[in-house]
Amino acid sequence: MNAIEVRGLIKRFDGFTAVDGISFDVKEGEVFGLLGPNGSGKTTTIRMLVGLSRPTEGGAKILGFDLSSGITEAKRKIGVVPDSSNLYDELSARENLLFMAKLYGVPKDLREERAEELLKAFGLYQRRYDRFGTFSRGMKRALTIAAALVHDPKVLFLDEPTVGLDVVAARSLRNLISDLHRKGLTIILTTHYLEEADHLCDRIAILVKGEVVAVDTPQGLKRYADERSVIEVSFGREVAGLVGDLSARLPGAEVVFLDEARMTVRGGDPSRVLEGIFEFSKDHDLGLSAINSIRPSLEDAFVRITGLSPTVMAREKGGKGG
Amino acid sequence: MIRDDLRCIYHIAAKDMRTYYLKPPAVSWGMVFPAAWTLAFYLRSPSNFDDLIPGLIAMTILFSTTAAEAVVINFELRLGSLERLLLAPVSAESVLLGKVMGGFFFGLLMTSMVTLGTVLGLDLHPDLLVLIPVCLISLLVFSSRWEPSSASSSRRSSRPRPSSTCRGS
Repeated sequence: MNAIEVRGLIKRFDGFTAVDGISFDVKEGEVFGLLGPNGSGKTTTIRMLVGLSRPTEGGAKILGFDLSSGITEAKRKIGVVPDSSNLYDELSARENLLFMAKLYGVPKDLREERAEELLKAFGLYQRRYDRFGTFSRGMKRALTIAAALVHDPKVLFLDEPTVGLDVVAARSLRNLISDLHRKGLTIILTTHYLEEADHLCDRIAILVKGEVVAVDTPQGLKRYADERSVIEVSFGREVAGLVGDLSARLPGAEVVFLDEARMTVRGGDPSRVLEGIFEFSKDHDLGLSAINSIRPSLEDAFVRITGLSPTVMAREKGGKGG
Repeated sequence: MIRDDLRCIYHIAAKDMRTYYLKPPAVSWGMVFPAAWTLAFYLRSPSNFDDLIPGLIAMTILFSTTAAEAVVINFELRLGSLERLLLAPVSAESVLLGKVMGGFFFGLLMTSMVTLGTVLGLDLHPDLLVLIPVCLISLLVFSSRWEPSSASSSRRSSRPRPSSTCRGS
């Protein structure tokens, strides 16, 4: 069953089309990624789906509730983690969770229990009486996610969850997201980190300039990448001068030198390529030191699908996060 | 639905009271400023102090209701925490009313203290049937004061603005 159904969603701002007729489904219990560079319409899509922004055209259903007529009912069953950690600096971690529980109508006898449970699960129990404003970025992010889970939602929207976090905090947060996935929560995740999407998502929609250009599993998307086999070879000494002989032994393959003793061989029949490399190494006594088969990455697929450079994705939102 | 909205209004007002209003700057703005004005008028004309009491109450209402409320919504809009409230399963009108009620209750608290203090301290006998409704109406009017110019500039500075899509409640 689909947790979310999006049909022809459009959002225009003063003549600028931020989201241009996108459609996709999110199945119950899956982690669905919206992947794209900054300005591709990921956050605008999320804002429409959670009721913070009204679509110009099109519609969506969340857990069977129509976005236009049943948004209040849908809001009871969704949790939202915006791209910035926006809880109250003046309140403690525990008070923030209790306030959110009150807003969502969590029964009085369950609020304390639920807040305590989440504080323990997110490793913040020892700091429960400390003000949110005193927390590190990673802790703020973790508490913001905890606040989105306080009413036990069925669907969780995560907008750029790891932006601005250091490597350790980002890794810890990804583990948290994986745990939530294992518990059966449906998660919609926006990110511009290709590795994060590859690691966390069951399926990914790639957005470019407000349009969905591909929806598939990470493995499925990788099939869009260069279908030729890629083998990386390292020799014990320089081989650049022998390129003519090597090319003659590898029919249909393209040899690209990475340095004087290292190269990639693209295409050709993989078994014949390997055979040719071994013979070449033996005949010239080169001392084959490493040979690796390179699998296409999501980055390769992204470049192939969108025609954009991966550096576009590497540009972070300046000064954001935390 | 109405119960949910009322619950939300109460919790937002209570949170705002705690977070913004019952703080030394807001309390001092709500009490010290009218007291300073009254003292100034008293020093100018000490014999007619009783006549200054209605003015003192009016100034307490004005300064206490606007002590923090004029900036609370814009402040939260900039920080993004207003979005938290708009994501709750209640109408946007309830969220706004919760904000207004925070200022109203703070004004009511301050005005009650000043009124009781002066009425009991100076042994006055005001007509309560007039005083109470006038104070309550004034509190509501001043607490629902809104800064449209600063609000719009705040909205422009924020990303796509939150809109009131909570029509279902």
